Amino acid sequence: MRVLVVEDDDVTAEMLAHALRDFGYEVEIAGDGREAFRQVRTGRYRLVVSDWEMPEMTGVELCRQIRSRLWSGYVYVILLTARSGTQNVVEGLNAGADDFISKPFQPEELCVRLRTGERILSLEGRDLTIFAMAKLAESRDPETGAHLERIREYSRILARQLARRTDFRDQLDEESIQMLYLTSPLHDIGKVGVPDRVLLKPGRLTQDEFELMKRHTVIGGETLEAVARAHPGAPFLQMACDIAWSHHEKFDGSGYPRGLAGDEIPLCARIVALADVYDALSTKRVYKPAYSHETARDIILRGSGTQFDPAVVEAFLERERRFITVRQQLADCEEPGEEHAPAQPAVC
Amino acid sequence: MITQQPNYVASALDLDELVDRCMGNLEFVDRVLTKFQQRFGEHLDELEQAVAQDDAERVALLAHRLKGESASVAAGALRDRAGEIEALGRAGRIASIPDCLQRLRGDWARFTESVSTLDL
Repeated sequence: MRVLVVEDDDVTAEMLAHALRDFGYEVEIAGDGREAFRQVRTGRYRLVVSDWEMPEMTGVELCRQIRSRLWSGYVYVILLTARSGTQNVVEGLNAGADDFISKPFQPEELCVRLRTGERILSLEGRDLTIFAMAKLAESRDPETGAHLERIREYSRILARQLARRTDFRDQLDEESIQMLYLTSPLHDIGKVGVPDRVLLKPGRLTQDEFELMKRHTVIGGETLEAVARAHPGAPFLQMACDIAWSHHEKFDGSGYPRGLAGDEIPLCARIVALADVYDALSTKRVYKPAYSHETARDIILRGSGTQFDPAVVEAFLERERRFITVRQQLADCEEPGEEHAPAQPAVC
Repeated sequence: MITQQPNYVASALDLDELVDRCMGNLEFVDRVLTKFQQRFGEHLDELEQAVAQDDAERVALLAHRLKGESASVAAGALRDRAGEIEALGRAGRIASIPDCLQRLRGDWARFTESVSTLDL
């Protein structure tokens, strides 16, 4: 595995690199934070060991820069520091550091910390497999582009905002938010059971076809439910199941497939419901152009309390700038054309 | 104990710690010490210039670097002295630094003399 060592003191950098190579890692050295950030952007590094105090860009600032962007995979950052004390640890963690190694480094400690990082990154392998499954199911629909990537980002933004509220804090800790990020792309996995003539139909669906399309919630929910029963120790499967079943339920009880209302709809599904609709509205589909953020926002506001949980809509309004950023960063190739918004949302 | 060393060397350099950090590779230890001496000499000159220019911020930065590289090669006396200068620089007490710098020069001379007697 490749490790990027970031250290302005080239004696220490060379010693770190030597020890890491001895432990079996491939190592590159960056002499400062800016160079390191350029290197990380090549996508070649998932493990970064960085000095804290460096001229130009400190290790803490490097962490912030890394965390401020979306990457194809997680970047695990270990800060090297002679600093001690809670305040420094909090500053490092707040900036997005995953771990610390005290200076001067001890080879055994260095090795243990790196192995921990590797273990955590290996969990991402499981996450990628889940995402690959979702992508495979989605691949039958050529129009959706980076829909799944955006859905999980929107869902996480909403969940983090809701977690600030006292009435949601108990349901949304960082672990469950991460689980939502992991499982939200599975919301439409049941579409594998929808016939091509319905799924790929370019025009408006007939009532019978729409009934077939609605079945994707049941097919996805039942499939994931069966897997969850066989693997009761995997709580993310239960969340995936809840999302697949209930992401088309509406807050007033008029949704499908079960007509659940209010808190009967699992919170994760209420969150994904808004994320899914925002993405459908703000990207081009065969039956509609891409609407501007403002239009999508107005449609969502109109659905507060009927289609959507008002608390989730509030979270959306509080974090709408992040939505705009994600929409831009993960835009599909074709730029959005201008819209003519319908009187009612065209999203089922 | 990998290498027997006289006491005057031990006070300037913890060779066992350095050898551990170099994964027991004595050839690499030799290379590290050579590079360290070259870099430390250059950085010490830069530090003296920064003191002469009353640039406390740069003094703290350079002393921090000297402290870090000394700690990496297990040169305890140099590390501690550089740490004192760093603290004075951060506190803006530039007037107290020349005395400390002179002592650092003395520690540095002892270190290089000690290293020259090592037979790796």
